[in-house]
Amino acid sequence: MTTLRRRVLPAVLALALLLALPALVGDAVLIRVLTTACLFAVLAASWDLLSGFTGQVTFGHAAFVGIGGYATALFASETTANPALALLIGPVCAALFGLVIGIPALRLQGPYLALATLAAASALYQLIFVFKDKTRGEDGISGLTTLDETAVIGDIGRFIANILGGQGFESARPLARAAYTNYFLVVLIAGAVLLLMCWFGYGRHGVVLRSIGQEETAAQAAGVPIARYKVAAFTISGGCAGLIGALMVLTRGSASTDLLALDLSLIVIVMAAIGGTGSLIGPAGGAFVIILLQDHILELIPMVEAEPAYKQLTFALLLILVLRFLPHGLFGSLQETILARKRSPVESPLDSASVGDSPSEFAKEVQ
Amino acid sequence: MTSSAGPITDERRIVLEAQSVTRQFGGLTAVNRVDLQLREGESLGLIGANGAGKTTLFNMLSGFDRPSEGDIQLHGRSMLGSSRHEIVRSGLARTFQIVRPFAALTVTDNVRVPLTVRGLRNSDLEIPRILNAVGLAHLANVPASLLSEGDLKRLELARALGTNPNVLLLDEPFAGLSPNEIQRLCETISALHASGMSLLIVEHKIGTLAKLCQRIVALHRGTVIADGSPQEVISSPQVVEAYLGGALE
Repeated sequence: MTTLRRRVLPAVLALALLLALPALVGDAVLIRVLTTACLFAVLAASWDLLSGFTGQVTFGHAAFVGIGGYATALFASETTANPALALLIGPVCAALFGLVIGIPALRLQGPYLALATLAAASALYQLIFVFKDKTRGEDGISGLTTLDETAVIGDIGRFIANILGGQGFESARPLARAAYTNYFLVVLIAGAVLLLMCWFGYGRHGVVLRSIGQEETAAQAAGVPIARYKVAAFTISGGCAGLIGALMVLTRGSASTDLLALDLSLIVIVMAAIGGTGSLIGPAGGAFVIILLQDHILELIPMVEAEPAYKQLTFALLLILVLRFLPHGLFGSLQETILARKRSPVESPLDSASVGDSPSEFAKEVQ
Repeated sequence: MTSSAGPITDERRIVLEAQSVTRQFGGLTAVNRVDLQLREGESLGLIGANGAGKTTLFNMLSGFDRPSEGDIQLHGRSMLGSSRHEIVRSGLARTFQIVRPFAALTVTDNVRVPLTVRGLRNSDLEIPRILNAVGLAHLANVPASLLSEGDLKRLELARALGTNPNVLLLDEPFAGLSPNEIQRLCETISALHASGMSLLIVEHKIGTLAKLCQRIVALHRGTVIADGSPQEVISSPQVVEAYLGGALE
């Protein structure tokens, strides 16, 4: 399908660029920023798969991150198994939560659904304190084995870092080397998940998901089992977000309440809106814009460095400008412009009925 | 009431049937004890003035609304316990008076939706066939948001055909179209009927409907006031009085 190729190709190119970047950059701090950007890129895309595609706008996406993250942290802290196994356990727990929450969510739409998901995330946040003997409450679970320290997965990461890390990796201190290793692992895992999401989102079933988001009644008339697809979207989106939660915990070696915070849910929506919803790649690009601005570019401006509130002001201004002038987001609008130029000029739709009528042929075929 | 006449409707199997169907909205009875049958391969028109209950009946017949009383049967089985996608899978498809395209999707992807949920893996072969049938093949890769009203009506039809229906319900398919577009859409619908599809068409343009349908049912204030051949219904004094206000098209 041409749409699939068109959407996946930029993701593949971006993935190749991200793998080549450490050798060019050679800066461990920037590598850490890019690691965070990769994680948020997939998180924003997973929100988009649920909200941008099927129109089920959720304000509680952090719930999936939190479940994936805390499941990972508890697994790593309570068992002696390889913590990398939590890369399976975290997403599965979050996907199950998506399945559980997706069924009652079928009865809700618009702001009611958004508020219900927000309430679910808030309830989970409170559960951290209810079960603080396990979750360690406000302190969080720390001292966990990080991804680069795990057997097999960590070894693979170091092997790739040795090849692609360049001078920066070779000359780095142990902590910085860990950052490089984690970066390559995150790029590969997150990149694979993003590609899978693109494959699904722009494949046959993704088209069905988008039809629900655009005209649910018409989708029903087309025979779409709406409930099944909506619950599937919750489950898949939740699983992907849960994986990001697991990766967040395994890259920093700790789990804390920020994984379930309202701020996290909101920033993901802002990323998707700035990048352009309904495209997967747009929200992923929006995540890079926001994270690079927040953690790198704006840090270079002395005024912002002195007063962090300027960052929030910048994001608010950027969001207003994008929503006002580029309603399809930075990447969505860019893509539309490119497609409009590429598209061969079609005749006016008003002239369209002058060609191509062949009902009798169809009748013959049906007979 | 004019009796349904002619040998064509007598022998054929009933595919869609409303049995003493009533629909109430609070104190308002929109449809009152209506009986209606659509037979296999029949082309049936449904007319009525605004507020006559056409859309309410149409929505109930297509499974988009439930009757307060009575039953609706598709192929001899009650539809009332079935979900909308199950009804579509049973072979009943509908279009909408106000077109509802998947605006951001291309024409091809609009048609791909019903084919995908049917489980057709190789939809790329089926899509051109459907688009050819409705005359949209040359706009296959154009987003639906760029189509004219006439093409959107065709897209509605194409999407409905994608469900592989044997009963097709068309809600005012000619509304908002130019005479040329009406003519071309008429040809498409006639071809579908010739292929053996059972059609129920709600339409205000009674002249156009008379060309397409073997039988017409007229509704007034939620009840059937005429049921017969187009000529019989058009000449019915009750229809002229209630629906046409004394002047025929």
